[in-house]
Amino acid sequence: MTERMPNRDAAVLNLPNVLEVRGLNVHIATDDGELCAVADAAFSVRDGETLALVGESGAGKSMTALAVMRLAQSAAIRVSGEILLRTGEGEPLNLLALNAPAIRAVRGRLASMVFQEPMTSLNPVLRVGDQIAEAIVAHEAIGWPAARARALDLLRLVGIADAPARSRTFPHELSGGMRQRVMIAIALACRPRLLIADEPTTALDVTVQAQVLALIRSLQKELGMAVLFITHDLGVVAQIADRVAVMYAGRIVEEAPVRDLFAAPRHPYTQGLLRSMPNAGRAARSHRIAPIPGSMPSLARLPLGCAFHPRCERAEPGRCDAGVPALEAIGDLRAVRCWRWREPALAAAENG
Amino acid sequence: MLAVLMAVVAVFAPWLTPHDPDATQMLARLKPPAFMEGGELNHVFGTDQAGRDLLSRCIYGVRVSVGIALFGLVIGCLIGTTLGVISGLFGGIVDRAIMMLVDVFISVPNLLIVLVGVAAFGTDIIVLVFLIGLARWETYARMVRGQVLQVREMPYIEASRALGASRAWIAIRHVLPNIASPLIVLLTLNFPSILLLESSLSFLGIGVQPPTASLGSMVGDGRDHLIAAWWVAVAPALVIVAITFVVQMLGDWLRDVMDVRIDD
Amino acid sequence: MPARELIKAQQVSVSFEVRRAGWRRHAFQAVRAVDLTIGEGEVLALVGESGSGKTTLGRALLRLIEVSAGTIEFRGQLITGLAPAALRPLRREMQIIFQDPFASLDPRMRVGDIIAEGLRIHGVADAAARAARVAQLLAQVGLEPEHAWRFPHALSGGQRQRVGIARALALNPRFIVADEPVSSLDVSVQAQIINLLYELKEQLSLTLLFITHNLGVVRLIADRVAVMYLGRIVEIADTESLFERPAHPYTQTLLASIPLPDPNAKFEPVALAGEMPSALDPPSGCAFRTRCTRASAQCAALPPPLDKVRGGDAHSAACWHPIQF
Repeated sequence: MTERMPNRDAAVLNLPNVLEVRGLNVHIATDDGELCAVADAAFSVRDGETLALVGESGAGKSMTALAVMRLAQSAAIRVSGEILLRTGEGEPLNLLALNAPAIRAVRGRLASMVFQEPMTSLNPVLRVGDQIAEAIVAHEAIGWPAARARALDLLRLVGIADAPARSRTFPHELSGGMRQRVMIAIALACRPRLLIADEPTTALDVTVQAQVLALIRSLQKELGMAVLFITHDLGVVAQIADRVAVMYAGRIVEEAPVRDLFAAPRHPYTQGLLRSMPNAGRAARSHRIAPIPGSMPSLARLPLGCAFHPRCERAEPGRCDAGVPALEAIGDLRAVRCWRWREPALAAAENG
Repeated sequence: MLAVLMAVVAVFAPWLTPHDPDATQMLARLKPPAFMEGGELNHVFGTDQAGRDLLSRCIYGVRVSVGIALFGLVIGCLIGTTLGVISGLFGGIVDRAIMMLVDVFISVPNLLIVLVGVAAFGTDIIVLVFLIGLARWETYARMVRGQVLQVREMPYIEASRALGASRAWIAIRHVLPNIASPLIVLLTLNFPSILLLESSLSFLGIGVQPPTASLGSMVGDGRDHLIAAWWVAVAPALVIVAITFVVQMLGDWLRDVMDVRIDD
Repeated sequence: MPARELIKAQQVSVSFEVRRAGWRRHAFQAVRAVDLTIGEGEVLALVGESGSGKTTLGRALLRLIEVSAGTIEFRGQLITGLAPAALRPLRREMQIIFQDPFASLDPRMRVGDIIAEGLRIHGVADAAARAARVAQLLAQVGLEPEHAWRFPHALSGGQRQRVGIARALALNPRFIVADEPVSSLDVSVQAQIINLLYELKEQLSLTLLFITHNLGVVRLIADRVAVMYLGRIVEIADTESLFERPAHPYTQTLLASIPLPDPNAKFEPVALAGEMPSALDPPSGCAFRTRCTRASAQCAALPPPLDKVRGGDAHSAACWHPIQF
C-alpha cells in the first residue's frame, strides 16, 4: 500500500485505452439560453491507470463523468462527440451511439460509477447484501443464491469484516465509510473494465477517506481496471492519480502525469490552484497564502476568449480575451490550453 | 387583473348595479338570462322568484360573501399564525398545550362550532365573521409551527441570536418573512372553503339574513326553483366558482412576486 | 501562551436529550468535561472528525448552546448562568462565522440589512450612521458599496462568506468563533477568505477559535491546535509541536490520513480498527482505546487526564501511553 503504482509515467503509454473520449460536448438548455457545460473534452484512460479529473464546482467534471456513463440525459441536455469503450477484442463501442437496452448492458458490467453521497445512492429499504447481489443478477445468468455468495466475497474484498452479518443490514445502519465501501462493492460486482468515481470521499471524514482511497488503490492493482477519479481535492489527486486533467469552466485546460503537474504546472490556473492549496505537510512560512483573485464565471456568462483570462495575472489584452486557445500538446504526455504557455514568465513561475 | 376587476366591482357595487338588489318586481319573476328565449338585456342573469335582478344580487352577494370570507380568513390566520409561531419558537410545555388545542379543534366539525356560536351569540354579521375565522385557525397554527421548526434551525437565526436578538425580534424579522410564501399558499387554499362555509351557513339559513344577498343564501333560495328556473341557483354558484379560481391564481402570483429569488 | 486569558472554560459538558426506540430518553453527551483557555489575540484551531463535539463546544463558548455542567469565563466574567438580558451586552464582544454561506444569510434580507442587524439590535438607531458603518465593513471585507442592495442569492459563495464576516465584525467583537468558514468554498476562493480572516485578525487584534477538519488550513494560520475525539480534547499544543511531534495516537492517525498535495510524499494512512463509537454509549476510560494499538487495561479503567507530555513545552495530551519523541 505504501509503494506507488508501478505504471505511473511512461510505462502506461504502451497499454491500450479502455476509455477514449473525443470531442465531447454537453449542452444544457436553460431559461437563459443554451449553456455549454462541457466543451470539446478529449481524454483517455488506460488499463490499470487512474486519470483524475480535477476542478472546482461548476468546472464540468461531474457532468463529464455522467455523460460518459450516458447518465446525463434529459430533454434539456444534449451530448455530442465520441465516447469509445473497449470491450475486449474487436472494435470499441461508441457509447453515444448505443440504444437504451445496450447502454444498460454496459453500465455496471463494463463500466460502473461510485457517487459522492453513499446514503442517497443506496436503496434504504433493501438489505445491502441483496443490493450487491441484484447488481450481479442484472448482468449475469446466475441464480440468487450464487449471487448472494458472490456478494459476500465482494464485501470481504472491500474490507468489510464479518461480511455475512453486514450483508443483512440496511444502509442506515452503516456508517458513511461503510456505505461507501458497499457502493464500491456494487460497482465492482461484475468486474468492470472502467470505474468512474465521482468525489467518492468528499463526504467522508479524513481517517475514513484515507481508508477508502487506499481501498480503491489496492482494488485497482488487484483487478487491473481503469479508474476515472473526479475530485476537487489536490491532495487526493496527488495520492491517487497517475495522470491528471484539470478542468475550468467546462474545458480541460491542462493534462499531465501527476508528478509533472505538481512539479511544473504549465497553465496559470493550475499554478494558481497549487499555490492556493494549504499544505498540512510543511510548516507555514507566513500565515498568508496566494489566492487566485475572483471566482469561476458562471457558465451563463462566460467571458470571451480564454475563460480564465479575467482572473489571470498574465492575460494579454487583445489575445487572451479574443479567442479560445486550443489544447496544445507538449511532448507525448502533456497538453495545455493557454495562449502564453511558451513565454518565459510562465516557464519561470514553474519553479516558484 | 381579474382579481382587481372583481374587487372594483364589489367595492363600487352601488354605482354599478343596474337595479336595486332588494327591489322586488312581481311582474318580472323568474325571468331567464338574456341569452335564453324570453330573457331580456335589462336582466342579464335573469330574475329570481321575487323578481329581483340576479346580476345585481350577485354583485352585492360577492360583496357580502367575499367580505365575510376575507375577514374570517384574516382573523383565522392571525390567531393561527401567532399561536403557531409561539408554539414553534418556544417549544416545550407551551408547544404541547397549543398543539393539544389544535387537535381538539380539528376533531370538531367546523359547522358545529359555528352552529353553537350562532346559537349562543345570534346571527349578527360580526359574530359570523369571528366564528368563520375561528373555524380554520388550526390549519395555520399547524403549518406555521412546522415551518417555524424548520426555519428555526437555519444558521441565519443562530447568527441573529449571536448578535443578541430576542425571540420576538427573530420571530418578526426572520421567521415571518421566511414563512410568508407557504402561508400565502395556505391562505388561498383556505379561501374557497371559507367562502363555501359562509355560503353553506347562509344556505342553511343561519348565515346572512334575508333580504341581504349573499352568494350562499342565493343558491339556497334557488334550490326551490331548480327545475323550472335553474339560473336562480346556478348564477350565484358560478360566481362562487369564478371567485375561487381567481383567488387561487392571485395566490400563485403573490407567491412568485414575494420570492426574492425570482425577481431581482 | 500569549498574554491574557480571554476565554476560560472549566469542566464544560454539553448533553442533549435524544429519544431513541420509543419513549425512553437518552442523554447524549456531545462535550465531556472540557478545560480550555484561549489567550487574547490567539488563533486556536479546534479539529476533529464529525461527532467529535467541536462545533458544539464552539457554540457553548458563545452560549448559543447551554452547558449542562462546568463554567465559562469571558475576560474574567462568568458567562454561564448569566440571564439573557445580562448576556446581551456581551454578545457584542463575541461573534460567530458559519460554514454554509447559503444558509447563514436570511434570503429575504438585503446584504446591507444583514450586516446592520447587530447595529439595530444594539440600538444604533440612526440610519445614516448604520449605512456609514455598513459601507466601511463592506470595504473591509473586500466587497463593493453596491453589494449592500443585493440579496444573498445574487452573490457567489465567496462573496456571501464575506458578508457573513462583515456581519460578525459589525459590533467590533474581541472574540470570533469561525465554524468551518472555508469548508464549503472552492480552493481558489478558500485561500482568499483565509487571507481575509487572518488580515482582519491582525488589524483588529481579534481572538479566533477556528473550527475545522482541514488540517492544511490549521497549519497555515493556527497558533495552537486542540484535537477532539468523542467529546473530549485529547491533545492540545502549539501548531508546529502538534504536527511534528503528535503525542496522542489519535492525532498521529489523523495526521497520517491527510492526503498531501505532493505526489512524492508518502501516504501511509494507519488503518483505524472499527468505527468511531456512538456518543450515546462511549467506551469506558479512554474513548479512543477501542481503536488504539497502544491500549492497555489501564486505558479501559480510567479516562486519562489532559496532562503535559513534555516538560516546559505547552503540549498536553490525554493518553496513558503517549508517543515519545
